[in-house]
Amino acid sequence: MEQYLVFRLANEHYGLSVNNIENIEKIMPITRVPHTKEYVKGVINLRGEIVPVIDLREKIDVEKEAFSEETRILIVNWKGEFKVGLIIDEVLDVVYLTKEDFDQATRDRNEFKFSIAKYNGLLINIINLEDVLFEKAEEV
Amino acid sequence: MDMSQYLGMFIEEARDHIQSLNDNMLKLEENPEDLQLINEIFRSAHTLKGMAGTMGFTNMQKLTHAMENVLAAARDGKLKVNSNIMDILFKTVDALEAYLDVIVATGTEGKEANLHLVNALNAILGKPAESVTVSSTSKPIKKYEYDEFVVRAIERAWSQGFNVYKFDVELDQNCLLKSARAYLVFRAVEEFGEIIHSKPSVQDIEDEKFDFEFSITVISKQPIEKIRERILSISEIREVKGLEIKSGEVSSAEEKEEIEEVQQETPVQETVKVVRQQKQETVQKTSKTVRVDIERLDVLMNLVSELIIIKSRIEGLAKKYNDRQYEESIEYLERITTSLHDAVMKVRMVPVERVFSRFPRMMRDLARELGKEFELVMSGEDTEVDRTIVDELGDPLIHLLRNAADHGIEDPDERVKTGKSRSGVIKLSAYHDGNNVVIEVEDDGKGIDLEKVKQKAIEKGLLKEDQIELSDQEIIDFLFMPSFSTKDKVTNLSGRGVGLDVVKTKIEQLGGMVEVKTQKGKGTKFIIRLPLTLAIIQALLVTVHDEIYAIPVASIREIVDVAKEDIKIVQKGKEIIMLRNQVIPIKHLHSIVGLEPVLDKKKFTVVIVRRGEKLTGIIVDRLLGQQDIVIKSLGKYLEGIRLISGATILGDGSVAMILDPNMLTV
Repeated sequence: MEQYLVFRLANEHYGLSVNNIENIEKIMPITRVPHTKEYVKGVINLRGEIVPVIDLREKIDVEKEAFSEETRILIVNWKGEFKVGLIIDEVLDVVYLTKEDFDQATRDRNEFKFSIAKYNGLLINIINLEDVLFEKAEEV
Repeated sequence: MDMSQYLGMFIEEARDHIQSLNDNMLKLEENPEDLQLINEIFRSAHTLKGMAGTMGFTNMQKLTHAMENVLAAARDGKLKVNSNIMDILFKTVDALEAYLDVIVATGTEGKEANLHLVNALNAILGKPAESVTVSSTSKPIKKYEYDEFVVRAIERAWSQGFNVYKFDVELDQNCLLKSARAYLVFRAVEEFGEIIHSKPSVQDIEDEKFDFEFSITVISKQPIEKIRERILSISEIREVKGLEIKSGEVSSAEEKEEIEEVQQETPVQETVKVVRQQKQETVQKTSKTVRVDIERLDVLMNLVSELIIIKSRIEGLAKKYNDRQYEESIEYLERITTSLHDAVMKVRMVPVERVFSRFPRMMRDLARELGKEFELVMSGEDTEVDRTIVDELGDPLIHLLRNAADHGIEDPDERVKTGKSRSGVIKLSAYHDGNNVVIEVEDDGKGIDLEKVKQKAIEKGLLKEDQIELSDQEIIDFLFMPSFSTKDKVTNLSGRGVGLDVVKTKIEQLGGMVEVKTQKGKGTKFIIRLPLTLAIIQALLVTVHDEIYAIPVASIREIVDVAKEDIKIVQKGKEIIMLRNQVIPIKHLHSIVGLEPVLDKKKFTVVIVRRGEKLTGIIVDRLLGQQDIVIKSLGKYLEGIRLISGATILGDGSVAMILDPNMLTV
């Protein structure tokens, strides 16, 4: 059993293991960094630390919304090596998911970009952080 | 027992010992008779052996043991040190360093047993001399068990340079007053050192609660044989077996009774006193300096940077209030932050000696390898630089020193022919110059043959034959081009594909520059100029559209306003300006950072940046002014963006990119 943060991107539900998440921040000024990938929005000053920010919606090809009161930056920590902020549309909930909640067919993700978990009648796309942060496991 | 927690300490200390081995062995080579040096070397090897043993690095331990035997023979006058022996000893130290590198990388010592070195060391002694190898090399190491108190006393003794011996004394079967006999032994031994343990206990011996054997553990500076002979000189002693206990061979047993029995005895109590005194002395010595994990210093540095940032923010706010008391407090805050910043910077400063110290050894090997004669003269080893810079200095300096030895200094005969002394001089010096540290590598060799460099440049197609009008400086610049070597034959030293271009790149990465002065027949001098620190620099803040960028002031030559019509176009759209009759290429910072340039202005602000001798003009929208900025890394996720060398946080909390001037001029 593992805890997942459930959040909204456009009109779908997504989940990310809370083990990866350090903080949830409100949207703040982002400084553009030249010559980076389109989805890298720049860097923020996170209490004195420079942290790059990725627009998760652009990265995984979800329709973009304008920033709102609900927009958040999830600060994730990649194996203690670096931190990255992920822009998402709205934080919804934190839930416990068990192995049984995961849809078997989507586990090896041949046709799906994400594993799908079923929870209280909701379908949650479970994000694999590695896919989001690195280029290798991109489009099929 | 899990030793991994001691690994860091082991590595640090082992490095120190290896360094001191190298240093002292170099000195010994000049004064082979100096007994004190041999003693010192012996002690380092001895301690190293013990440490390696404790950590379970058996190969390393065996090698140091063999080394120690040779040194012990030299110390006892049984062996004369010659250059052949020195060579083997130096190779041994290299092998030890290699072990250490493997340990740093993997946490284990690896499989290399260095048998050839062990054999070579043993061969020096002919056969393992018995008096030296008291506990023979081939036997597995014995563990001597003592209670913790005694173990600590033993360890203390080692660190003070004492030897620790264990004597098994057997009395004659006909001996009548056993306890009296034992008492004589105790007395005799105490002429030479301290008895720190006896088995059975002194009380039991006095009560004659023992057969004909007892054993004592002694700390002493005297040779083992001397003590043994003294014991044997007492009548009715049948046999005395003496063993030297080396570090790594003791362990503590947790028998409470032994502690009791030990503490009752007078000789032991005396030892306690001695040990305590010694302990206090060492405490005093060590408390003067503290080894600090560099990461902790980085945290401290970061916090100070934060303080500086928030200070400038408060300064900005203060302007709004215009209150005198408020202003005074802020001035006070400013003073404190500045001093704090200085203090933290000083903590990060380390003497360049850290890098320099390995060069004497390297140059010695080099002289032998090249068959040349030269002396390395170092000065200013105590000059301090931020440790981030010191750590990076090694490679460029090694290259320049090799260069001086290989290309600069002539063969001895050639030198004599040109009226110079047989032996050349290579000078390595460091000194402070304002906000810079300068490091020079100078040789009194043949100098750079500019004509030859020019020919080579033509050969490589870097220069056309009709372009003869070149200044000396321009010719020297060719040396810094990738893979440019004037050496005809590839030696062990040159031809490794590492050239002066690598030196130059490295130094420039550190925000410094290299300069060369050379005079034919007289010598060559490389001058490296480096900033004192990398963490905080002076920068010019500029804007393009609504973005702010920082350009390091050190790389700015000047700032000029240029009218639109003075920007000329040459060679398929390249923009240039003429400044004091010099052609300077122009770039728009907008385009460089991927924004649309503003073209319909009448006047442009051009920041002229330099990289070595090369100048480039950068058009910016507006200048915001100059200030101290704290350099922060963009982190691993964004590494490899060539144009940006880092980011900084401005007084209002926003982030600005720092431009890498080296990339602006490409």
